[in-house]
Amino acid sequence: MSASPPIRTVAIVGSGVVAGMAALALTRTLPHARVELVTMPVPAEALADRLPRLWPSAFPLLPSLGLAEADLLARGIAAPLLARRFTGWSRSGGRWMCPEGETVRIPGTGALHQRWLHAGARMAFHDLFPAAALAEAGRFSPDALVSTELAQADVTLALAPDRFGAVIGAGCQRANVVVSEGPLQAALPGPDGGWRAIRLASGRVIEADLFVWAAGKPLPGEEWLDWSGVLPADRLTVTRTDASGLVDEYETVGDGWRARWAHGDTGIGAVAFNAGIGQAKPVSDAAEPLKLTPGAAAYGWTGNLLRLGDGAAQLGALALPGFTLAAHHLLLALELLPARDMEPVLVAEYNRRARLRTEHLRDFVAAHYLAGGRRRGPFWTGLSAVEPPSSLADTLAQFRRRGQLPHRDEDSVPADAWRAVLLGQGIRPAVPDPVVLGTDRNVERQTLMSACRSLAMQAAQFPDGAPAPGISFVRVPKPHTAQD
Amino acid sequence: MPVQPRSRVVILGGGTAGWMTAAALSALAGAACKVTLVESADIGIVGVGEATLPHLRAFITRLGIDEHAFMAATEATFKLGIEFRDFGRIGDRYIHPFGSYGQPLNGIAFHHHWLRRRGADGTSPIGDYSPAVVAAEQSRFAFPSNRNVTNSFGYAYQFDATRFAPFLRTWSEERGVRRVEGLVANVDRDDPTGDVRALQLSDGQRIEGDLFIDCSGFRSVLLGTALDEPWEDWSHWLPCDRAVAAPCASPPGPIEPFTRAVAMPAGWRWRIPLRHRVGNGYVYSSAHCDDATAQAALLDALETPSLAEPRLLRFKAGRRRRSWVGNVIAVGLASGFLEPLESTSIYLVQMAITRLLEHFPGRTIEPVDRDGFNAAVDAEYDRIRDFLILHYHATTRDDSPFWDHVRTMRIPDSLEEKLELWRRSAQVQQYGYGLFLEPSWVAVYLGQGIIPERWDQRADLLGEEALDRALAELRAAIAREVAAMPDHRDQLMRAA
Ligand SMILES: Cc1cc2nc3c(=O)[nH]c(=O)nc-3n(C[C@H](O)[C@H](O)[C@H](O)COP(=O)(O)OP(=O)(O)OC[C@H]3O[C@@H](n4cnc5c(N)ncnc54)[C@H](O)[C@@H]3O)c2cc1C
Repeated sequence: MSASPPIRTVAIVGSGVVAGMAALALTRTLPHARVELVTMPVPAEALADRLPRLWPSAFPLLPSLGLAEADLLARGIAAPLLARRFTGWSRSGGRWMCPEGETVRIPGTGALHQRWLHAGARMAFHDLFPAAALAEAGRFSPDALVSTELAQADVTLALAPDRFGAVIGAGCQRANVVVSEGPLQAALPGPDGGWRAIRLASGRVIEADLFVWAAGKPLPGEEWLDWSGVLPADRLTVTRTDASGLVDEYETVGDGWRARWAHGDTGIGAVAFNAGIGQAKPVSDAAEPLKLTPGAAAYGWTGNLLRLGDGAAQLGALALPGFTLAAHHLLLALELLPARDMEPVLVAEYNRRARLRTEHLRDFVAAHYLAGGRRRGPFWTGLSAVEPPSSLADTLAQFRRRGQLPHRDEDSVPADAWRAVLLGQGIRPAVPDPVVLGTDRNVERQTLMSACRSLAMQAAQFPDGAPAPGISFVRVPKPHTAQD
Repeated sequence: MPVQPRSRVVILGGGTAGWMTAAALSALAGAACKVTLVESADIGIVGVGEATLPHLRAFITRLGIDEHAFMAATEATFKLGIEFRDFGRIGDRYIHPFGSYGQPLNGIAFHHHWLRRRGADGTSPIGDYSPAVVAAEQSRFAFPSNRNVTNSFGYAYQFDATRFAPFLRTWSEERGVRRVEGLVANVDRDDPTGDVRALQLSDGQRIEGDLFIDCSGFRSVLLGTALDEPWEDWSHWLPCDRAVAAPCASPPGPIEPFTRAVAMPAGWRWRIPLRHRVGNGYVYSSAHCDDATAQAALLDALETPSLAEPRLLRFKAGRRRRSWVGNVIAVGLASGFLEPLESTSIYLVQMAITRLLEHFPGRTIEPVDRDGFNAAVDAEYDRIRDFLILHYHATTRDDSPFWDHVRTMRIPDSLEEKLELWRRSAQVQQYGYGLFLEPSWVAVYLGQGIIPERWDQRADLLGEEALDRALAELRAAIAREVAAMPDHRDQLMRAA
């Protein structure tokens, strides 16, 4: 069929869930190829492997793994997360949430955030999200996602790494993925920045058509773009805490921020700070801070070498986007999977799209720091002087002016989540939207309030519970995206 | 938020662009601006532009315009796509439908599966998997229901371009738009900003404004002439620069719910069936064909005698470097022109209006308003340009100097990359916004004979038998659905 024959052999380096996921997806995609997983322990800093969260944008990867989101929830492999809650982040110090999914649909004229701004309602913008209503009510079941009024809710999967790893491992075994004892000792360079072969500590040499570096850290000696200026939290301490609910909590302190993350049956407490500015009080004395290196490899794919996970990009601990980014990169690699000769046009297209994906996600995380929030305290004062990346600067300028978001391809973040963060941080557009200007504020305020009340009521009545295994979500189709 | 005084918007031009803008601003931003429109009967409108894209429906709906009333007033028919004849090779034909082919199987776009079975027993042309194509071929039309996949497609309109602006004019005037008849003789500008302050009309009237929308057509009176914004010329890629147009009476028989584009020795010819007549025109390159030859070729191709003297139109492919400069925003032909091969001009008008509403400045304009608007317009123009060039370049025709030229010309790098990606892997360069997404590219690539070397490897994971069954079922379901659709002409009578 093809000018160049398909890939025969794949070697993946790494022992975490990112490597396992890559092995499983590749072996399922290339049933005739020999897929070999070379073990190599991932460092504690590899957040994509250690604290995997799968955002809804990356759910389309799951079928390639033979998995379904409802199934993962039902089997306790993932816990549902409905929102991130932020305390002390905005300049006014208020609390706000970034809920999953979209805002509720309310008939009327104009975009909902513009209507909310125009109405001057007292409720928070996040109150217009069904996911927030469910989070406040402390209730969740996947059925909520198909009920009519709450249908715009969505859920992030907080994957329990050990259980998820076991599922992936079993899948790999069934699919005859070969596991070889690492670690990798040396890579023998091949053309175009790829590898010809790798040598293991045992002395064994493995040749492959495609190599995947998923060992949870940048390749030694590789050019690494430094994003620590715009993602300033480069130290993290973590400890186990008791179980937490449907919401990840983020609270600022003078030296950085603290988080409480849902994590399987337990929770995790985290403190993030900047090494150069000073150490925030750790959650427990025992914990040695992890060193994070926010940034990205200059290219995700060179020659026959693909990087995934913390070896491709690190966006830090805020919102834990690492695993989701790795999932998107893997999905893209499957879509553009080259033949054995690694067609340069496919590799280039991968790098173009993967890079957009990475940068847009970086921008989203960076917006939490740079969109004009808290500036008191050693960690925060300097942020006013930090120049955002140009794409984020553009987004902020457009939003400050008119509440608009530039259209971005390869964005993992729904527009409503962007709005929740920018409005939550306290941005109020300078110029009103001409479309909503003509509506009566008082009427609009009543409309929005009653929609919120109705959401809260629906959420409170909602049964709590996991779905039966095998149920898959029937999602309400997204509206046609034609321009109007 | 402080209550701002309404800004004064002056629209220059009363063609399709001018009245669409006036209608949208008065309906959607009436609380933010007062609209005055200046037009001159002495100059008139270009009066062509009969084929549209499905996006126009969203425009009509958003403004609250009644579809029946609009269609009746403009003698409109339904449009399910464009049929291209003789483009890739003489004798070839395909329809670029509104809507996709088939549906993804196992998460993999349909065309990969189709490519895999191409040439195997029992497979049929990819058009058989598009309800829009099958309905178009049979001159049937029903409103899409979105109830099931076989019935999910889009539709647009084909209408009398001389009646659309007058329809919108009545509608807009009822909503408070002030219309001024007059010829702009002079443009008053501010020193030192260069912003336009007022239009001086030849009868002495002076029309002041905060924001000026230049809808003056090819003359580009404000942006091009007064502000002298540089022109970006694309005629080396899109060499057609003239058209001759002539309507003819509708032949008996069905009214086809699609536009036809037939490749000609020095360009191509359109055929657009309306309720009361058929619109025709030959778009050609004056470097490869003289006017008399073009006119003779057009008249020769008409099915019925011409209803009017053929009209000659001149244009250039390209655009003003920026559409929004100072307090002047060009919409429509005043901002640029890409030839009508894919009926994109009115879409570009509509897109500019949408972006204008998003970046509507209030009484003071900030650079960020212009930058946001111009960036969005740039992206649209570039993508449409590449898509149009593809229609010419993807050919094996060597029967005339024109086709030799477009076949062998150097194309933009951005298109070269897209083509290479397709040839090697059947992948379409993805973008989420703008016009012509994956199904459109697939339609033209395959329709013009660019068969990729391979397909998405994941398509092979589906068993051949299961795939063949799925294909046969889909084909049958579409055939059934279409057979139940009314005839297009009957549907129009019903709507009338
Ligand atoms: C051959 C051809 C075929 C086309 N086919 C299609 C198609 O199938 N589909 C599609 O979408 N588009 C098509 N188009 C494009 C389409 O016709 C235009 O986009 C559309 O009609 C909008 O034109 P306009 O309003 O910008 O300009 P015009 O219709 O030219 O209007 C210009 C207005 O400005 C006024 N004006 C100009 N100068 C002055 C002055 N000094 N003082 C006062 N008033 C002034 C005129 O009076 C007039 O009202 C085609 C174009 C051409 C040339």
